[in-house]
Amino acid sequence: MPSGLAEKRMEIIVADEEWQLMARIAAGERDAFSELYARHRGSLLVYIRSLTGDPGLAEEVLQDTLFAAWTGAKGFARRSSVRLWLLGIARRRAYDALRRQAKSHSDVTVLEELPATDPEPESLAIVGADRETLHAAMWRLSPAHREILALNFLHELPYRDIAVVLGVPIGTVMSRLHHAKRALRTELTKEGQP
Amino acid sequence: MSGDVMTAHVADLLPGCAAGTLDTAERERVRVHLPGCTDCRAELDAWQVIRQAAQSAYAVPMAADGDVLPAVWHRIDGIASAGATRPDPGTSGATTAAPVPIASRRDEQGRGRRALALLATAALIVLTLAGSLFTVSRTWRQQDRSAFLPAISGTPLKPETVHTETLLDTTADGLVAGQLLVAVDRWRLSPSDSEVILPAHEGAVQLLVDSGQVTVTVNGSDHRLEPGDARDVANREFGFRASGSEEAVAYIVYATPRFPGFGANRLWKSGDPLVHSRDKMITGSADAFAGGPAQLVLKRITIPPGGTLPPQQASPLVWIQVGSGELGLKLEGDRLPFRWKPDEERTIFQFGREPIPYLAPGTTMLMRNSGDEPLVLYRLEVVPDSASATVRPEPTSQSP
Repeated sequence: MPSGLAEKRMEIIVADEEWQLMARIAAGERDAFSELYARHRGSLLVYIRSLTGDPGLAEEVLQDTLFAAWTGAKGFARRSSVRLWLLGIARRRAYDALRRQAKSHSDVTVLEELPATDPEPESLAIVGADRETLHAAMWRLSPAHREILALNFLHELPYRDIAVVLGVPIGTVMSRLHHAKRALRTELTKEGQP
Repeated sequence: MSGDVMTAHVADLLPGCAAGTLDTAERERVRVHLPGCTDCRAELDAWQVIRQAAQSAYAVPMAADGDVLPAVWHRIDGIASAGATRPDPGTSGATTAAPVPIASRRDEQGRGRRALALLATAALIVLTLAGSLFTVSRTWRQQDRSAFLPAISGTPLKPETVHTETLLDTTADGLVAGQLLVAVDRWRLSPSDSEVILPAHEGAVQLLVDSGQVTVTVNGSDHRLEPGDARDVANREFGFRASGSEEAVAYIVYATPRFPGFGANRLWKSGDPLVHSRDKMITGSADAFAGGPAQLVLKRITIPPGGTLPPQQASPLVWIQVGSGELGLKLEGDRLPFRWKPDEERTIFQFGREPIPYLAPGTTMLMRNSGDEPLVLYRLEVVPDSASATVRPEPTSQSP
């Protein structure tokens, strides 16, 4: 069997297993919910923290997310994996929380119409930045830029899955990644980096 | 390959390349384009720096006291007692119960506890470092590997009988009580001076070489390993690369209380995604591990088409996953996974993103090769010292 096809069939099996877990949760099985929590809590918390930048707020959003997952399990439509469904809920809850705290996020959609297929000149500046400065600059990025970097590099989601979580076309995923890089370069410039 | 594809920049693929998430065709586009394009190569370097920065900045491990589930049950029970119905999670503001402010409560109550925990962790790391010996051991090979293809494919030649190879059998000291996370990653390494660098992990971490020559760098010292060699690489950052003229395959086996990332995510600090690729063969965990020394045993079992294994009992400290081929799996027991019928056979494929569901201890697994190619299984077992005398079910050679 071609490896790509095998991977696809394996994904279906994995999805089927977690869909069964969701069916048990929809039936009110708390053990199943605890299992879902154990599988995804770390991933969800890291994602939410990357969005909110606030550990305390992140745990409140995680609670919101889990509560919504429990109450919404019957409505899980199997259009995606459980993981992507949970990340989608977490995203909505995180942005709700940011709005409540008036930590508005910039609307990046206008800037992201065109995918960036050519190399860009900020690469050298980023490679030359020192670790501490880079670390600080990562946290000064907008939630939308932190989010897409986290989904790509921590959650290691392929572009098509990132597109599902964000509800945008794949081209927007690619261009948003490049805008995040450009924003990082801008932040480094503010710090006097090359 | 057309000239357009050769010359078109691949900047849009480079973040995925640095993350290791491209599919085969995309990866090939990058591989073809990159050698002739210094701009894209510089771009990829930048993305690799960003990957490391994102992982170190955002991958904050969950605090040991960060369990929010009790607070969630509290809210759920509050709603249930009020007779509320289940709302749609996608509807903003659908919840009617406010979050329990555990974070602020912990801020007030947890600082002292966290400081103590940090001190205890630091002391544990120092003791473990002081006590651990940096050893090279020859792993056992129970079968003659000359009958097998190089492990780069993970698929041996068609065998006549079931073959079991013990890739690793070593004592792991100092495993702590509580949650135990286990993992087996297979790394394919093209010959290069570029290293994969992995962060330090607590617990037991073994690097073992399956094929080719691998140089491991620890604390500035290089150690060359041959096929069959294993090395303890716990509690320290280390790098490794293929140092021979051919591609190499190495496995990293983890038994750890936590990963530096989150959950079961295994982050790598650096590496060239065009030179190094990783397959996550096994990912698992055990709750309430007793702690103490244990034996870490990794086996590769190759079953010919039509071959079967003797019945296996599921155990909390045994993890089995498909490396290649098709596994026909039947289950017997009182507590089967949801909607799994006793007479039903399901087909499980590679690779190990938990295609075999969690099984209650004592569940009987009936496994056979249901495909046309050899079936390769990886079986990791943690045997606590106190249980080492226990008889363990072992696959045995058997005619198909």
